[in-house]
Amino acid sequence: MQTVLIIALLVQNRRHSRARADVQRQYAEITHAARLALIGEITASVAHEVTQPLSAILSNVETADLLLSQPQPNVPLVREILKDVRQDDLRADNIVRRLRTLLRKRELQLEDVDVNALASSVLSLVLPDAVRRNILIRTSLDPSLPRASADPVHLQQVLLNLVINAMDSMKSTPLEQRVLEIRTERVPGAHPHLTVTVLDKGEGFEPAKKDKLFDSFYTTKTEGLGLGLSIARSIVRMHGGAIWAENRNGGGASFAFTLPFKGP
Amino acid sequence: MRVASAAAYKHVTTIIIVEDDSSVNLAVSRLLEAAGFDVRSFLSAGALLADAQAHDADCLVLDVHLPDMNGFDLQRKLVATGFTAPVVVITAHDDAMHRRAARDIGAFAYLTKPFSSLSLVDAVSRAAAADR
Repeated sequence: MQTVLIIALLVQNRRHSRARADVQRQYAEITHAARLALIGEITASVAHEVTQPLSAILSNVETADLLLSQPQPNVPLVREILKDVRQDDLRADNIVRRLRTLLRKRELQLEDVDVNALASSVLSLVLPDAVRRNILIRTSLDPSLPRASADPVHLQQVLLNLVINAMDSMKSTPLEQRVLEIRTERVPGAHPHLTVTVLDKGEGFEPAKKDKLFDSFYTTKTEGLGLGLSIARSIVRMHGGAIWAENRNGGGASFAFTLPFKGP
Repeated sequence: MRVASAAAYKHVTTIIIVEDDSSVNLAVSRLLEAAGFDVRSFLSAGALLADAQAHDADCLVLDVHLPDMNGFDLQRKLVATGFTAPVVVITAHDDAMHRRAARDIGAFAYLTKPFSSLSLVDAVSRAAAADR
């Protein structure tokens, strides 16, 4: 009887460890895909940025060539052009350097992160800006929030992005209605996770554009490349979470993301 | 090299450039001036729309990614105000969507950066000639 029990336990244990291995493999696959997506975002952004100086250099060099082939070449202009070529070369080099730094930091360094503390630190970062823009900050942080296994640097980038977007969206909101809120919540169940929500009272977004919000190069802002939310999505997915946006009843938008945690 | 005024000499071909990258803007302006065109350049869509003389141009060289609106929307706005000069689209971000948008606005040419000077001068010359 005891032998049977031991065998049954062994089998169960093996099954469990196989299931664990499956989950780990799936997680590795998901994070690998998300990491590739992130590299894709960065590459697209860098390609776009590098193309500008490359384009200027090509036009400038060919113009200089054209000028020098004229009977009385405008030498001062050619000199000016050479100066610009040099500057654009340095600009391109700078972009490539920044890419190297970004890629070096690419690996996730997971730690047990207190997401409430992280949210507070992000808010203290933007507080001076919020005060200047007349934005009231509210928090509703779940005291029972478990620690999440996450890369705090990447996670901070996600939160900062959502908070800055939220502030930017309230440019046309009447001063007394400008409220930014961060909520955290523990969600138990079969897939226990924590949810972080950033709410604003801004313009919201066109419902038809909901699926495009997280796409690369999609932006409603006058400045910026439209990469913030797509990078945020890549980072959240890399952590095994999800990110989405909703329009709020009564105006404004909410952006929420989840992070899984172990345990009940 | 700049020819006095397009209005004074009707035979001079005037090209408008809208490009927010100041290096590219300057380089393309220099190139087209060296090629004998009268060039007027703008760093944003708004700057062009605010310019009452914009309608004199024979050809428009439009970047897609502008800070205030994309080049395609700018072209539609210009058409709505009666400005119908042919458009040469230039972009650093080439994809199917942009190509389709360029086709939809009836762009004369679509060049991806970095483009050769010859291809730009050729496109602009042919576009301006088609406008006559």
